[in-house]
Amino acid sequence: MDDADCDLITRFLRLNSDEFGNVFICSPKQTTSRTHFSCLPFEVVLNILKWIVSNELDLRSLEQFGSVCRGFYIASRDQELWRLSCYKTWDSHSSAALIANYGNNWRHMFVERVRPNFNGAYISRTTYIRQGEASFQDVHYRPCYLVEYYRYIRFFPNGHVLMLTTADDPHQSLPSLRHRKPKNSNVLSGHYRINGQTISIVIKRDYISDGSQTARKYKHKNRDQSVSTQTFNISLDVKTVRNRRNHQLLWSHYSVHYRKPNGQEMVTDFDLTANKFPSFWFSRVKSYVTTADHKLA
Amino acid sequence: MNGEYSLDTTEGMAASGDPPTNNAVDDYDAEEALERQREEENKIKIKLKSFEGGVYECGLTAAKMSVMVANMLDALQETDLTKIATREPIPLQNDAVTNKALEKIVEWVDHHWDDPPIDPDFDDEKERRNEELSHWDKQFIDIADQGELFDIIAAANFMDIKGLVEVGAKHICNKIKGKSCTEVREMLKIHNDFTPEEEAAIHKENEWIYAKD
Repeated sequence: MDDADCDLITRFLRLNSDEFGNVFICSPKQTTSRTHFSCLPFEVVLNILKWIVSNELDLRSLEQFGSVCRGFYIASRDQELWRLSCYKTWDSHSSAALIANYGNNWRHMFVERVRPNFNGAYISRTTYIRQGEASFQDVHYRPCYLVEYYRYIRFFPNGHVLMLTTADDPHQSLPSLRHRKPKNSNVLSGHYRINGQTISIVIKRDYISDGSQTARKYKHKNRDQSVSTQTFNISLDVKTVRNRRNHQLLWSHYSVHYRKPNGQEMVTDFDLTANKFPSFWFSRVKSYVTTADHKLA
Repeated sequence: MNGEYSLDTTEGMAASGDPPTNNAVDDYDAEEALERQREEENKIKIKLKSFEGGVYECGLTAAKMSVMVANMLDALQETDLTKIATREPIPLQNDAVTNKALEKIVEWVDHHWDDPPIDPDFDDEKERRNEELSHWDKQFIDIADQGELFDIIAAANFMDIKGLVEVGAKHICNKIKGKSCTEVREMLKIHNDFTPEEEAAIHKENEWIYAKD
């Protein structure tokens, strides 16, 4: 991969330079239009690319941009874009320390180093059968219910994560994970960290015991009396399945820490059996990255 | 007169060793004064000359949103700002600064010179105004003629008007995003200059994005 990269870049840079060594972007299809995209200064093109990548790190769109023509390829391989993306995915400190392992190529680090995918959501579908009560009329009739529910996780760059557990199918649920600040109150938000192959998630949720407006209003005053806190601690192992990178998340730890209003604390550690905690599978969601709100910085 | 009077008292107090006045109030006054000065200065009209020779009038404060124009004005070392108005038009020596582009650029800076500063603190009024502005920008930059659009962006880049450069970059980004290579080539009238071998090599490098989800 390393050699191939160098070859193409060197080749295209040679082909797309004028006699003074200035790089030009591309040649127009027709010369009829007076001003063409290729007339834009290189720095302006790079700025457009920062918008395309955006703070949601849509590097997939950058790769597609680089497949348009030689000049776009050169621009899309700009190390600065990939370096900033690595800094936002992991921290700058660890990235700088590890870059030598990736042949000092920030693009290689972003593609190959374990991380969650940002341009979609991870879905885990759980089903189980619940036995219903036997009916009075017919003792031989015992209904069975197939219960089905979903866990959704959406990762954002810079350590922000959203989680939703619901009976609603992906079609209904995925739009509510579109924004960092979800409108759906069932969506929980928290933080995550990447540690080698493992992602650790911490999500905190406050409950106001009696739920009344007064309690909410005086939340800070008698916080200890009326507010209980639930903390979810989840660890997931990231797996690449065949050539699908970071495609599967396997449960490795799940506990809920519950702090009652009177200060009493309870910890529930879940037994992660495969049928109750099936792994998460990644699903790309196009609408998550269709518009850029903030540029990569 | 009022302004001068209060300025005197403040100096007097400082000199007599009184405790310093409330800093927040001072900051607010300074901000107000600066805003008034900017308003006054924008009444002074300067002339900008496009690469094609067209001359356009523009308020001084608005024109200074171009870092390049601001630097050129500084270089004149003119203490009497009103004299700037009577000077020769400032020539903008870059072929992207066409008559049309300059006309649009003057329209943009004229609309934006009194923008509220971007405030991280929550402030409804400023938030609302910023939303209005971004809506205005969207309509401003939605230009059908690609040549004109690229001229404006390249000219804004040359004149170093950061805000307008970003508006243009964001606009082009949203046009490109989500489109296939063929669609982008079609839209921007770009010739596919890859050889089949190169195309295959790039496809292999980009394999990670083509894996079926």
